Amino acid sequence: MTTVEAHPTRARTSEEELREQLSNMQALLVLSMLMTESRDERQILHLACTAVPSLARCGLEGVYLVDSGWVALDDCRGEDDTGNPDRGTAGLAQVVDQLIRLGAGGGGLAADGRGWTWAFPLRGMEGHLGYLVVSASVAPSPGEQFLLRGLAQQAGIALANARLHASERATAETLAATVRTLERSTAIHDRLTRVGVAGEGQAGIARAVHELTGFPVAVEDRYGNLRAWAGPHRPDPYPKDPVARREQMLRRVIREHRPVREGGRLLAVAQPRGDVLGVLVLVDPAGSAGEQELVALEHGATVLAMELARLRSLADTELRVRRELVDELLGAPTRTALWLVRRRWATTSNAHTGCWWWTVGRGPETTTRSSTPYAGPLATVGSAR
Amino acid sequence: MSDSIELGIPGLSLDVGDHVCCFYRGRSERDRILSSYLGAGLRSGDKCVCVLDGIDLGTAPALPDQVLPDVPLGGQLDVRVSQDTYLRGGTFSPAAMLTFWDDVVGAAIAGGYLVSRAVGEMTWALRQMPGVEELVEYEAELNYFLPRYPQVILCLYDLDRFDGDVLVDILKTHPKVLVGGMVLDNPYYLEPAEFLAARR
Repeated sequence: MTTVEAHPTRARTSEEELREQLSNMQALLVLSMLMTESRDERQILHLACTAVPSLARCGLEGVYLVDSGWVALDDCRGEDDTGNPDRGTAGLAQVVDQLIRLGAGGGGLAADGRGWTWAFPLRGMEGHLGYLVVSASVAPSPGEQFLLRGLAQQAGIALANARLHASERATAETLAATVRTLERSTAIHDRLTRVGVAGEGQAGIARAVHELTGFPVAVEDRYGNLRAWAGPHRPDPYPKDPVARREQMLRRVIREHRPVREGGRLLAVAQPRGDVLGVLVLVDPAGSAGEQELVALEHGATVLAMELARLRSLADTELRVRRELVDELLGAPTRTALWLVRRRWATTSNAHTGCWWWTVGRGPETTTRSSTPYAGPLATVGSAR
Repeated sequence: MSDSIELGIPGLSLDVGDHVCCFYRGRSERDRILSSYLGAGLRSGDKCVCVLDGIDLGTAPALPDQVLPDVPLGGQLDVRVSQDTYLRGGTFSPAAMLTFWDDVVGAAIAGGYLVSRAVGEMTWALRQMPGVEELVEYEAELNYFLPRYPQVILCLYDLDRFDGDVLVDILKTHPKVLVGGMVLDNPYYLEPAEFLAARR
């Protein structure tokens, strides 16, 4: 470290010097307020660095932050008290090792071509942030050094405050984004649940996903046949992939467990219990669909899977009932057969199955008719619904 | 005549003879301060003198629309621009500017106003023009001019544009500071001779 010389004595009274010191402290107080009010790290450091020559007879060498090294503040670096404008960073590299060894208390540095060089610590609430490094041809007075120490300390607190504020703001923004995503997901869930509960079918699901995303939406069966469409620009005729390519695409979607982009389309499969019963398609040639659109598509595919599973279960049940009934009818007398028809219809019918009519073909006297108000056509077993 | 001057900001007042530096950030905050300070002056019957910077009178109104929109200029409210005052003739001269204030304020008081309240936007000092380096000396000299008339002078400094060294020197030479909605007294402000001696 360079030998410290005393500052040349000036012809000023102690009262004048005291008054100047108090005035400087008053200025430092206001400067501290201004730095603390700022949320911009660079603005804080700029204020602190440019204030150095007004508080003490020395110049700024630089600001060194422990987490990022020297801060580029060339516009803050004026001439030093020797009128040397060539402060630059060339001489700073040699003091980094010294800074690292200094610790949180700061202290003197040895730098070529500088008389007195000192690192004042920038301290924040959470610890040591770095140093404000200044130099002069001779050591500033104790009062001036006190001001520089205060300036560095206040700049450190303002920096820590700005970082804390930025961190809290980032956390709040992340939280707000999460809340927005959850709200959107809830809206998607609610809309599609209503579709499912209301029994709006495949067309309703397509319409809901279209309304939620703004993109045209198609519902296809496993083989690529269009079952429902919502939105503009419906192609006519509807294009259909070759079987091999379709199967390849389905295998890819199943393997990836999420919607897959193929060409200008995003596809999600409706796959209850392992079987692919349908495909929900978001038509997005520009590739602009985002995370929320994917959520709507995935949720739509789930609701579609439930709808298709229900329809398949219903079809299976009806087929089984038909078979069982035909077997019973063929083995029973006419009156018994009529009773069986009524009982079977009463126990299995619902809003979707309607009423069944049969002609059991042993002659005209064996024709039966249900006593329900339904006035549908007389039909043979297997064709009536 | 009361010695207290309403600043236009609730709870804040100045005294006749105060020289205040006011720190703000950006144009909108400046306009709010102007509106409050000049509005209160007009209501109190004070002579109001406002010197703004960065205005081309050929293309823009002297006073922004949002500042006192219903008040006619001239008479009680005198609005000037920096190029005709601080930088008249393309240079800054502290003596010439003090003469300007003496003429304007002196005429107002002679004309019957009890108090003059002036405000100057100081961003003109950031321009590379002859004499602007004498800004702080001018501010210090202004303290000698204040007692000559019943007046208040508010100097506006944009925190986003002035460097720390200028701000510190300004703080040292102003007896009062308006910052963050507070008026702070600086009993240790330096008189011109003290400031200039300390600088040498």
